[in-house]
Amino acid sequence: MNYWIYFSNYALTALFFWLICMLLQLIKSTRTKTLLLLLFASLGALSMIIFTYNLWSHLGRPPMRTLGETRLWYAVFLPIIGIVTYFRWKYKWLLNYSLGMACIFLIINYLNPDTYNKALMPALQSIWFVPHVLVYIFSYALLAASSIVSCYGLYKFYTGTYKDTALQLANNLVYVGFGFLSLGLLFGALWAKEAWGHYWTWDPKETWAMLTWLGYLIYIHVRYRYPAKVEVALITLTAAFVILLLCWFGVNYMPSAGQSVHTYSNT
Amino acid sequence: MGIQNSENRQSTKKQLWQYPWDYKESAIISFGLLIVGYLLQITTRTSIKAVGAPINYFIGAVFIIMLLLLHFFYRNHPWVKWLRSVPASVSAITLVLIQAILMGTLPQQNFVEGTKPDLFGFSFVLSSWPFIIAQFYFLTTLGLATLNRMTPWQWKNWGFVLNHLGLFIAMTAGILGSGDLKRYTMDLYENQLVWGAKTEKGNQIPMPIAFELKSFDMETFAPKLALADITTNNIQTKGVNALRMIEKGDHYDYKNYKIKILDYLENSKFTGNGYFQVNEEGAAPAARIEVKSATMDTIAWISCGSFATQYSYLQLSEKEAIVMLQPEAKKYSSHVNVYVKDGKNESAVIEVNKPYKVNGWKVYQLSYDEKFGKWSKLSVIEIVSDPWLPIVYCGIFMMLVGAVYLIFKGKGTAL
Repeated sequence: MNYWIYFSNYALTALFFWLICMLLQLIKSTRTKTLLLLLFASLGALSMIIFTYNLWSHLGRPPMRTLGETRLWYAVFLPIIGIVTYFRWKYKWLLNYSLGMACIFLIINYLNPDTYNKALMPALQSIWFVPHVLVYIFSYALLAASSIVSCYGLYKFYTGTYKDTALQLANNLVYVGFGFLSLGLLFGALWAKEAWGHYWTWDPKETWAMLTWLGYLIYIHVRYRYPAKVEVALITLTAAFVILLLCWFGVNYMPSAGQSVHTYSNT
Repeated sequence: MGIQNSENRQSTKKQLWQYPWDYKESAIISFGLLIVGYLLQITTRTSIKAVGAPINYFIGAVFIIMLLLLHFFYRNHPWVKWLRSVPASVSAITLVLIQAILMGTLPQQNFVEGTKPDLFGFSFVLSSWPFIIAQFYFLTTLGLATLNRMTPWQWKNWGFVLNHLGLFIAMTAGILGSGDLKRYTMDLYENQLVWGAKTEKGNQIPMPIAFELKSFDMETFAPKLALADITTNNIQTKGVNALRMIEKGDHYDYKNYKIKILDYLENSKFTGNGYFQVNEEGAAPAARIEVKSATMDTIAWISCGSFATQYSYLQLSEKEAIVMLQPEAKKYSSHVNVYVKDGKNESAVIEVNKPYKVNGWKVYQLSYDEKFGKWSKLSVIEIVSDPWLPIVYCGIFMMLVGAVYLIFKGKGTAL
């Protein structure tokens, strides 16, 4: 049975709850509103978590092989990041951004239905597969959030209404995101040694993953040295995200791609 | 934080090259290094080969002694202070970043077949002068910054040291160790004892270990059904049911067709007018399917075939046909007997993701004869020795702990 046919039910449920969460913010503040926002955002996330869990058990393999499957994970992780940051720091716009992004991922998945494929090549059948991919997706989601914070910060900076809390938030997201990015890279190295004979082979995707890592490394150092130079830090962070996007989408199309082991499967 | 911030006061206008050096000087120096790298590359026109033992040990020792001398005897020299500063680090990271962008974007000789060498080394960045120099500069700034935080030792610096020292150890050992890395392949045919291996360039070399393939085993997934364009031989991959793994009794819709799988044989051969269950070499999967649409209602046997039996598809129109794709491998492994020169003799199973260790070598299942699929009589294994691996792993594990530290540090900072 093809479990993807149930996708639209779960996705619509999630979209419905997230829409309520966003509409609620238009209503004048009441005391219980924060709680309601968190409740509806979480219900939507829960719907996607249940679908992903069910899809996983029906496939009999981790759903992390196709682009459609990775989009599903972003639709799970982004709302969680939004909910946690809202709960902790009350950033409504970040919550809305993460819910909005998750909605976009769901809509793309709805318009490009994934084929249902139980096959998983032997090299991917490893205990490292799940941690490697999950940690990466989670870190990309965090770093994407940090980049939105930086764009928002740049906008505020140029309009003269900048407050330093934006960069502080971005910094927190980058540290956590960079930690997970490092874990993803290192898990990948340990896995590669077991599956392909060497921990680092300069596969184009590996090279671009290292580039992403170096990009955020520059941001961390620049920010550390001159915490007062806001504009430089904001621009660096935005540039680092451009490298990340190239790494995620671009590598398949580059002349260097050759026979990369990391190209996402379309089937 | 304290040391860095005291150097960080917004000073009155400083002349270029006046100490302490900052971002401008760092940018000029790393740009100079880039130019030097390309000049060296153009004049030597070679790709640099990794050096093996004992020369790599010597280079490593000289490099580390150099860092220690700089640190302990010239700690307060303005150049050494600059080398361990953030601006120098950022310029070094940028230099490596530039080389990595070239490597990640342009086709590389070791990755894309048929790439021609060029004057600037753009097609072999990994072994070109600019990249070697960038790595050297990177490791120098990293090493000195790490030493500065380690002496005198303070426990509050543990996260910094794990991340920086871990990276230094992993990278240095990885670069120096590449000269001692041995990766060979061996072609094993059933019941033949093989002592020789092939290098990447195809040269035969004798090995101290021999392998005898007893059997090659493969499990496959059930094959998939797909709609093919028989004029172009393309498979349609769009849509939820475009590629459907065969399961007896399954029925589904694709485009305007209602498809039902009436029967499925995992091992069959074509005889006379249909496919029959057999238990012999070269057997192929076959399925009896029913297809209904507005214009047709038919039942037929289809099969992906094999080297020993013919394939069949079901033609639906002048353009379209339902075909069975070759089954994908689920797992494959080689049962081998292993003979070591010192007299050891054992049998082992080598499987993808489960390498087998013998006398300092790791042995990997690499490939097989794809024409014969699960009936392959050939198994290709890869045999790898990397004596520097424990040092690289030591660095990697330090960085793993360091990454966890970063995650908690990010979480902990109050707003």
